[in-house]
Amino acid sequence: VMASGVTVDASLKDDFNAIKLGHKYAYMVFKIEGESQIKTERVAENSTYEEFIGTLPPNECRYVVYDYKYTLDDGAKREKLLFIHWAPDSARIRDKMLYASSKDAIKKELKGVVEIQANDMSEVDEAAIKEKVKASG
Amino acid sequence: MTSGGNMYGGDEVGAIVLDVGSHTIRAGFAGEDMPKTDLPAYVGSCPAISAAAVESAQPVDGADSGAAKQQQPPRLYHGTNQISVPRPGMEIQALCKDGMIEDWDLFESTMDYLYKHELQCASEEHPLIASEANWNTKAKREKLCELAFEKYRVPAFFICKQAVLACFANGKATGLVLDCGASGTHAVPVFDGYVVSHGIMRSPLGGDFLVRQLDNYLRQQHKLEPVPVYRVASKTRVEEGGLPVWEAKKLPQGITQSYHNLMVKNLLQDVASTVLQCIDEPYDQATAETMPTVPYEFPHGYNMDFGYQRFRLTEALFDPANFLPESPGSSMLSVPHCLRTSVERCDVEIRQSLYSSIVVVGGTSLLKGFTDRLQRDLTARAAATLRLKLLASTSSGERRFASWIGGSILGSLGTFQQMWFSKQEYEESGKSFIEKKCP
Repeated sequence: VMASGVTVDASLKDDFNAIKLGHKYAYMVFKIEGESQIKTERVAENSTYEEFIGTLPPNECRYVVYDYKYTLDDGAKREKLLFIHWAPDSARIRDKMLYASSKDAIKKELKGVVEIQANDMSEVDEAAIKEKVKASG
Repeated sequence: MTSGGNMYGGDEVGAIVLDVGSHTIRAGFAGEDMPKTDLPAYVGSCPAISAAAVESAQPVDGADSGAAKQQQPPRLYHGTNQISVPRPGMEIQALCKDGMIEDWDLFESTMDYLYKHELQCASEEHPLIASEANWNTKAKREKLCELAFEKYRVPAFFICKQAVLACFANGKATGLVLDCGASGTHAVPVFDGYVVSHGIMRSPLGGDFLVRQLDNYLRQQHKLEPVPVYRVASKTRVEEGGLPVWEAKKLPQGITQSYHNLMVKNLLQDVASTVLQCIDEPYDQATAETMPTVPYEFPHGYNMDFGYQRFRLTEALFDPANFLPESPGSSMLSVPHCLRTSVERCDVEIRQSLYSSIVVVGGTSLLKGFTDRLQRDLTARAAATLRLKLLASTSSGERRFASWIGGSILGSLGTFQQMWFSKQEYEESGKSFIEKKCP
């Protein structure tokens, strides 16, 4: 696919494994630095989903991996890793283009995630997320 | 070099960004917010002096009598200013057909003009990033690549589908791009940066269609012949609806029909963008009659108030079966139906993602009330659980130049400098290597 050429910081893969295999973090946020490299911006060890979405920058794009825990109707507990491509409508067009064209680079490093494209708060609303996660099987 | 508001990734000389459409060609420098020029995708072509004139002007040269009989190439005119001048024998010729470059000689002359007069730079000093039609053929993309390297000697080249650029520029790697342009409205699904070709739906309902609707209405119902400005020497102020009082300009002989048609089209485009509006619910005559009227003064002085027609003329976009006068009961798909069909042609798993990411671009989409009505019509036919979201930039520049802007940003990224199809790679592997470099 047409890509920006932006690369992924080497340590990002380790960070991803820490959340995927080690369940060390509730979520991690990635940012493109200097229009050239995707790096881990911040992590949170404990957080509710509500708390997390409150921390999303309103006018800037980001990528997020969130360890989402949920319960099925029958009471069974499940856990899925979400990959959120956060591109708010109010972000600068340059930012939107950069993150959209670099998404493939980071996605390649993240195995077994459910992808969410979100341009506003309603698209990261927990009800919407839960639907998507359940649908992904 | 380029003016302010740009950011280069490195010390590279700025790339040129080219976005070719059926109506206009957008060109400019990577890193800038808007294209430097928005050139008509037409050329004015005047036949050269005849062979007889050439022969009589030159002394007899025995060996060259064959060459003397050859015609000189036609004189070509580019850009709105040049094309708008009424010249004897000047035919207007289109560069594109079906959204793709068709006349390569005329296209080349346009590129020459662009580099020399609009961009004012040497082609061999700037990488070139071009957009292509979403259904562009392999042959045409390779031909453009070849032209860029062989004739223009560009140091590097890249080509990308228009819908992908527009989709990315709106923050989405997956979305349904609804491009409402002059030649028509096209619904193009993009999934993870790839155009889903079998999902593309193309409808002729676009800007040119609206202009024809308006033309029919004015001539047939209103009995008004649209007189373009080139024919008017002077006009007198008249009452609304009164007979126009004007003086015709003395024009040279031999003004062509194609020139006249383009001038009429330009006039009607201006009328359309001034008066036409989409009503927010399915058309109702009584409601339309209560809406405010919009006046328009034609170049020859005719003064007209547009009333319900403002809304009636655009209704065909949403209900062609009932509102296409020349073919009532038409089976043509409305714009919302075209969009839905496009989505339905895609894998069921991605349909919700497409519906929640409808990227609206193109000049015709700026029609007042268009996106509101589209949203309404889509919602009315959708299941209650379906998430529908239209992304339609409020900036008219971003709407009209979405693909160009996407290319401009890409071409100015430092990291993109390694993604170009370089001159060296072209020399080593040939034009077909473009399939690998620009998937």
